[in-house]
Amino acid sequence: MVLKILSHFKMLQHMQVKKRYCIIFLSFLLTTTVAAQDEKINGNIALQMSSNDSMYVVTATVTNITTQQPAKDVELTLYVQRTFGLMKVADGTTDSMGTIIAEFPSDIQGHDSSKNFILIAKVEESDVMNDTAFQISMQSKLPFPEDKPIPRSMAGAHAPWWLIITFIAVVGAVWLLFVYVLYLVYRIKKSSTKVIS
Amino acid sequence: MEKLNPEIRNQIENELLGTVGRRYRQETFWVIFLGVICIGGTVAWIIQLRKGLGVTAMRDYVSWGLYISLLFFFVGVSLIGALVSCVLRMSGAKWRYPLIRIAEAVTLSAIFFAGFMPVLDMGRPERLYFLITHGRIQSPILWDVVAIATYFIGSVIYFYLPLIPDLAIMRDKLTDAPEWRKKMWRWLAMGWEDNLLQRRLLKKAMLILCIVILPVAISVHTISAWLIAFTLRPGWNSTIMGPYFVFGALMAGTAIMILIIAKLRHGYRLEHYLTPKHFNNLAKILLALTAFYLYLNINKYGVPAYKMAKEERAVLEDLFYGKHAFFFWFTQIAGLLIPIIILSFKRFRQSIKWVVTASVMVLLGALINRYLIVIPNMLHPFTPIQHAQHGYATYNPTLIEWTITASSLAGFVLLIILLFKPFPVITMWEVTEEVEKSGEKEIGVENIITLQNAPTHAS
Repeated sequence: MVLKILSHFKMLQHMQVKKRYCIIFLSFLLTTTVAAQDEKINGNIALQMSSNDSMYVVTATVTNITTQQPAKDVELTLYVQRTFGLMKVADGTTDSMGTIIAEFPSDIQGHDSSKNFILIAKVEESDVMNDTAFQISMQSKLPFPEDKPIPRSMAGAHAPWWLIITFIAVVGAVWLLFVYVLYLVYRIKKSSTKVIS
Repeated sequence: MEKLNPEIRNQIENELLGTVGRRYRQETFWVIFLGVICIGGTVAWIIQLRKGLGVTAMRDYVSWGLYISLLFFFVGVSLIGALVSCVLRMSGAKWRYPLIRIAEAVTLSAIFFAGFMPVLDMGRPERLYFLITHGRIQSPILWDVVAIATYFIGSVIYFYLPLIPDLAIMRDKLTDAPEWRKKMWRWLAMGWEDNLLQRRLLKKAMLILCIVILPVAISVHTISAWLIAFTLRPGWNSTIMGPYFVFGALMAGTAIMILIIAKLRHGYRLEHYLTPKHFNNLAKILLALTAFYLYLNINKYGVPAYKMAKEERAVLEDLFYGKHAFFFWFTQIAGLLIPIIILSFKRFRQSIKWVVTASVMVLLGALINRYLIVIPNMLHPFTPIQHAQHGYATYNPTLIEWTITASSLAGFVLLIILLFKPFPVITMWEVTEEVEKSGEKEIGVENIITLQNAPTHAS
């Protein structure tokens, strides 16, 4: 009995040793992860817009949010919001001043009748900075085309009237004749003197 | 022609009523065999529904495979009802009478499965009703669905109308049949008493339907042809497609009609009613249609082959000496040329065996031709296939597709067999009426007059 208790005590001791190793190992992993995370900085994006005759010129400045120092070698992508997704318009890597200068055509359409469109600057999967995004609403030179009704046509959403009328007339005439034939069958039944059970 | 004496009429009716509910030779074997194939096809379809169309070989380029090829085949075969019931009626061919119900049964079964094939081709068949609620009236797919549905309903009515007097005969004579059958006959016979008014109404209904069903039948197959003719693919951009499909359909329908009447004649011992005259006449029609179809083929393939336009070159080369060359030349030689030669000789036309042989060849050729109309053209789009993943630039039907296709063909034959279980194979009232009017020679039936003139049966 005493031996059995001793053996249990030894097992418990052994388990505690294992537990201690586990805690140390997990602490090591956590420290490493935190250290790895710490390598990436959190950034801030500022956009400055100007334009020439045919192009918008975007000056994007990326700064370290903690130190307020320019962040260099950060890959930045510029998108314009479209109806079903983002359209990439420019990309680049920040210089030692934390800036990139990119251009995109100024005849890009706005996403509504007031000519507004949204420009989005994104840092995605960068080695030096955590993902971040910044967006601004801008005025385009072109409004989004108005939702005018498309005229009836073979290729359009709505069929031309001549097709609808012809289709309904032809199919309807055939079905009406079917109904008339069934009516004749009904008259055959009515003309019978026998009772149908 | 004198009136048939009632005893002889009674005897004819009893003979033809003998096919109702009777098992013909080897029927059990065929029903089980075809039923097993149908069950296999149903299992394959369930697998396809669960896993999606990925289990087929259909991909981006070949989006129409065996199922749509078979749709064109079934739609084609369904034209035989219109040929026998309408074209021959208008041409005054009296020998059509013993064939009418068989032709209508073939039509009914074929158009039923024709309607089923697009459903098999759909990944999500439960969304079929969207075609009605959101269908574009400009699309030939919508026209095709409407035309097939209309033709199906028309065929059901056309199958039923000449059946009414026969149902009355069954109601009155087959008194020892099971109760449910007697009830069904009584209900469907519509109180038929064979009075003048009823006859007049029935003939009027049949005439109207005969006039209506012909353009509907032609439109079904023309629209099926337009499904591909309106699609931008090399080889399909042809104005010949409509007539090419219609005459190909009539040809395949006639061939399958010959095979089915040969089987029924033998199986039900209907040698008096389905005689060599019917085979001879159908063989003449088949000869004319096959020859005309060959002429259409020469136009369809010969004209673009002479020009060898850049965009059609690949598909023509594929057919003439490429991957599909064997099947292409098989359809032209074994499916058209050899049957034309066989059927050109009177001696062969008068032999049922030779007519059946020629029909088998025509039918096989027609079946393969439907595949050749669809697949090679889909494999050669105007924008050449480049960097396609393995399996996208070729089409090798999977086991699932073969099983479903085989089961559809089996189901087509099975439905014809089942249609003749509760109804007689031959239209009794029309045959007897026309024998009285025109004589048995005109109708093509044999030995009825002999019976009539026999002293033991004279009244």
